Amino acid sequence: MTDLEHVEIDLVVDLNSQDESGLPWTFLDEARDPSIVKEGAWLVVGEGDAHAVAQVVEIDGDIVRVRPLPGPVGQHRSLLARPA
Amino acid sequence: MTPEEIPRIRLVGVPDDAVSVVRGGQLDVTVLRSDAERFRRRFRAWGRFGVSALLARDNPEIDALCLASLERYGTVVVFRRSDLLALGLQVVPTFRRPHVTVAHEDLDALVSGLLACDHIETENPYHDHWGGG
Repeated sequence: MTDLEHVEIDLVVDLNSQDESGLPWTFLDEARDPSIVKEGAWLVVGEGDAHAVAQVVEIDGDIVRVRPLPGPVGQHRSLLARPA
Repeated sequence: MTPEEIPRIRLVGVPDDAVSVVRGGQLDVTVLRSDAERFRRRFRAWGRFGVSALLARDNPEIDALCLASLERYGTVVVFRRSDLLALGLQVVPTFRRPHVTVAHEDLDALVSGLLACDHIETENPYHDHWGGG
């Protein structure tokens, strides 16, 4: 699957963003299902037509920081708990 | 790490020769509003709405940003920093170089300013350069 196909986003993140950690961040309530957002989890993140597979690095209160992997979502589908 | 309500602003301001402000993604009003509101919610004590972008001095630096930081975006938008400032928007050096926050106290002024500002929308030649699959 390439990113040209529909990708369901687990966590809405502005991939332009960063905070003091240097990582993109968002709020926990931006998750499709907050129960899947755990430190170390691999998720599809992004918004609009920009997506990435990312690891949840830190959950700090209601703030979630992620480390996106380079490359299209389909390239990392084996990391996801569900099909990308 | 404790969430801060004011973004970290770099002590060294925006260099005069950083003439371009680059952001990944098309200028979509829904995305811009959402990002600006999320920023305001996070950094509420600063009192501004903001969207993230990156500084560049010239085309080679824009190209490098497209390859590295903005690889996930099929389209990138390039503003002249002077045009953003002329519209009353702030370009604030936040967090780690070359990150900036384009900010305004008023959400509508920020979003409408970004949409109205002269810009170049360009295809990112490095998008998905690892290949699909």
